[in-house]
Order: sequence, then structure tokens, then C-alpha cells
Amino acid sequence: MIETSNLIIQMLVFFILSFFPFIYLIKFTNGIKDHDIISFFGINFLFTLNIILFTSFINPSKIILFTSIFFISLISALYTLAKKKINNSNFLIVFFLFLLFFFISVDIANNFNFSWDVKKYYLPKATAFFQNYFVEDLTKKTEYPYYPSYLWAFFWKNSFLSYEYFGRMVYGYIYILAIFYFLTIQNLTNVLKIILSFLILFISYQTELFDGRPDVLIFAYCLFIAKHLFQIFNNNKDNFIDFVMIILSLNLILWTKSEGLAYALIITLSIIFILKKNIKMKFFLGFSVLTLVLLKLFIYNYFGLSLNPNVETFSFEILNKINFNFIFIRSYQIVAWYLMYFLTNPIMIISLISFLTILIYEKKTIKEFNYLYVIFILNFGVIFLTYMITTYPMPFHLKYSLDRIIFHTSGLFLIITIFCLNRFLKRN
Amino acid sequence: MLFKNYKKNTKLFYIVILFFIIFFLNNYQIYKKTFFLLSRDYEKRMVDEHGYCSRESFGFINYVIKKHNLNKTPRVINFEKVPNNYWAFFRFDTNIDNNKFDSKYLILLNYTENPFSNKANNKINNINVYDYEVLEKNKNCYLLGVK
Repeated sequence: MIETSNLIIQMLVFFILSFFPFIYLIKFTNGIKDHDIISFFGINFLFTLNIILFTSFINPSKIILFTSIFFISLISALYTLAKKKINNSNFLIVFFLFLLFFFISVDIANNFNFSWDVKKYYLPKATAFFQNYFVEDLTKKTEYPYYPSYLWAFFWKNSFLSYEYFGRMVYGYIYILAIFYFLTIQNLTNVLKIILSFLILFISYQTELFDGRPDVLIFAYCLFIAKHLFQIFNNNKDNFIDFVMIILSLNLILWTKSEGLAYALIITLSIIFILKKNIKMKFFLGFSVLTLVLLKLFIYNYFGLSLNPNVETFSFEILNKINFNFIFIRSYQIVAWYLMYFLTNPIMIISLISFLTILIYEKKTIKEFNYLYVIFILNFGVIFLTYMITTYPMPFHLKYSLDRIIFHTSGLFLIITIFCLNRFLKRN
Repeated sequence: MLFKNYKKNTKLFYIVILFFIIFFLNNYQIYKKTFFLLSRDYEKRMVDEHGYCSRESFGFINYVIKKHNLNKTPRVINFEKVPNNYWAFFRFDTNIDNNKFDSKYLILLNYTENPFSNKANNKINNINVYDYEVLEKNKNCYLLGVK
């Protein structure tokens, strides 16, 4: 019973942290009295995650940092609720956000089946951060971005019972919040949003995603980005907040997995090349992402970490093996495994069906998704190149990683599904 | 029909939501997991997953850490194929990566033979077991201490 009550307290902590007053700082809703509560939570929590990331560079006391953020968020929560700054009609959505987060938390609290990488790298790193060590103390896989393990340790440390899974609960919260946040993309009714959130949950949720591996975080951050890409390209609402949120999400992606650098550059380049107007915002985005990439390089350099995304996987030795036969066999393997994992990923299948539906019934609108095609092609290009030069045995490397790589960015392609659904509902 | 005037069909949608909740609870065994959360403590659930003296023997390791107050990490030799048994200590120790362990203790996990049965070959992983005595034993798990 004590554990269950602590689990609920930890859940409430995440909700309170979602009131961190970032939204008031940027005043993006000038002129609008009510905030959509899920957007409010999403924007604030993403900003809180960025604060934890930036302050982590100096490895502060996790308890002091948490207490500071918590009290600021608590005051903001009281102010927001007292002044009725958020729309009351959305409390049904919050109830379901809480309910689904509770289910996921219970699942996490019973999921100790840590995968190989978690036992070898992510859990020992989280344990180190829990004991106030930092990246300079680590010896294994230091080139992997440390932030997911740091985040795990941060909330592990700031829980009453100090069980490690309280730290992993933040992965669950980011995931479920990202789904609800993504569904604010269109003006759907609350009930429909809840149904769609269940459907996204059914096609993406797996217990083992929350064992401490950071893959689910990349998926969630991509869902955050997806909403704002839709606003920019499909709703033609390129507000400052849309770009800020993309930048904040890309920053988290950069620090979540080594592949994050590729994702950040792909998404940024696709926006810069496809968006025809708003040169100022394009410049702002490009400059910000470049600064964040340079900041990461600087931090890596400062702590003496390798810039090779995976020391065991990439080395110049592979250049000696490259010949026509090598390229042919590897190309065949990569394409075959890609197709297999693509066609077994429910999100990609649904997105593909939605794409074909639009292609058949609304051919004119198909151009509105040019940015997604660019992201898809560049993404495939990076995957192809990465597996072409890997020193790991093939197809072993493909078999045990490509499904997760496809899962990372799959959330972006749900935009097409939501667009398709919205058109369908409008027709009815 | 469901989507025809969908804004008016809220009752039907609530039934769909209820069905989804039941499906989710059932599919991911949330009922059972809630019961486990209420009835079994953290250590018990960890032992259920990683074994007391099987697989990674979380239960045995946890027991000897507490009973013998192991402040430094001893060498752990697990005869089952596991990636890394040291995570079970929930302790970051740079000495582990440098292969520097507390030489006063040795933990053998899932060792199906008697460590002291073969006098001709008294070494396990280049460690002379005759330098040690058994401090704790549970099935195939041993905590050995220097004599």
C-alpha cells in the first residue's frame, strides 16, 4: 500500500512539474484567455526537461534542483488554477491522461526485465548519477548521450522510497503526454481525442520499452515535433512557439541517443528547405540547432568523451573491406530488413494506408506533406549509410536494432493519419 | 454510422472508451500487476523476475549484501550467461570496470558443483577456492570468505 501511494505521489509530482511557468514567460497565447491544458502541460514539461538537461552540465545537487523546480511549479499551479487560466472543459482529457499514466506506471513498477544494454550500460550509468557521480567518472559507453540515464537517476533520487523504477516513470509520463499533446493537432472533440490516444497506445505501447532504454523518449519527442510540423506546414500557423518547441524537442533528442544528431539535422534541414516563407524563423531555427549541436560538441570535448557515436560499431577498418560484393550484399540486407521491419511496424503501416488513401481521394493535398517525404528519404539514407559501414556482424546488427530505429521517428508519420481522419470526419 | 454526426454520438464513444480500457487492462495484465504492487514488496517482485538463486540471483546477492554488510563490491562469477551481474548491487564502483574487487569475498552463482569437491583442480576462473570458506550457501549460490 505504501508503494502504491508513493507511486501516485510520484505521478502527481510529474503533473505539478508540468505547471512550470514557461508558458507565462513566452506569453505565446497573447489575446487568448484559455490555454488548452494538454498544450500547457506539454510545453511546460518539455521546458522543465530542458532545464534539467542544461543544469546537468554542472552536475548540481539533484535534490536542491528538484526542490527549486518543484516549488516554482507548485506556485505556478496554484496561480493557474486560482486564476482559471486553463480551460475547464479539458479536465476529462486530464483525467484520462492520469488514468493511462497510472496504468503505465503500474506496468513499469512490475517491469524489471531489463534488456542486455540496460544491464550493461544504462542502469549502471543511472546508478552512478544516483550516487552523484558524473560523466567523467564513467568508463563504459561514455560516447552514448548520458541524459536518459541522468533523467532516470534524477527522479529516482527525488522519490520517497528511492526505488529505481520511480525514475523510469518519467519515461512513461513523457510518452503518454506526447500522445495527448500530439492529438491537440486538430480541433477534435475530447472523446475522440481519448479514443485516438488509446489507438496510438495500442499500436505503439510495449512494456519492455520502459525498461530504461531511451528509444521511447525519441519516439515521444518526435510526437511533440509532429504537432508543430503540422502547425507550420499544414495549418500555416508558423508561430514563434512552434519553432521554439521544435528546437527544445530537438535539443532533447540530441542528448537522448547518438542517432539524435542525425534526426536533429534531418528535421531542421527539411523545414529549412521545404518551408517557403518566414525566412526569419528559418534562420532562427537553423542558428539555434547549430548552436545546440556545437554546445553538445563542446560539452563532449570538455569531458573528454568520444565524438564517435558508437566506438565499437564505427572504425576506419571497414574501409579495407569495401568492394562491389560487400556493397551489394549489404545493400540487399539493409533493404530487405528495412522492408521487413517497416511492414511489421503498425504505425508505419497505418501511415502508409493513410498516405495511399490521400493519394487516391485527395491527390491535390499530397504535396502538403513534402516535408515528411524529405524526412523519410533522408532518414532512410542515414540508416543505409550507417549499416553500410558498421563493423558489427551483419545481419546481427540489423536484426537487433533496425526495428527500434524505425520506431524512433515513426510518430512523425502519424501526421498523415490524423490529417486523413480529419478529412474523413469533415466529410461526414 | 459511428462517425456519422460523430459529435452527437458521444454515448457510443464512451462505450468504445470503456471497451478500450478493459482491453488495455486485460492485454497488459494491469489487474494482476496492480495486485502484485499491492501485495508484494519491491524486493519480492525483483526476486520474481531475476531469481533468488537462479538467473542473476538478485535475491541471494541482496541477502548477502545486507547480512555481511558488503560495502565494497566482491567478484561475482555467474555460471549462467548474463550480460553483467554487478547491476544487481545498485552501486556504482569504478573498480568493477578495472577488475578490482573486494578480495575478502567471492560470490559464485548457479555453480552446480561443490566448489571444494575437485582437489586436483581447485581453481574457478583462476581463483583458488581453497583460500576461501563458505559463509553462505543457498542451493547453487555461494558467498565465500577468505579464511
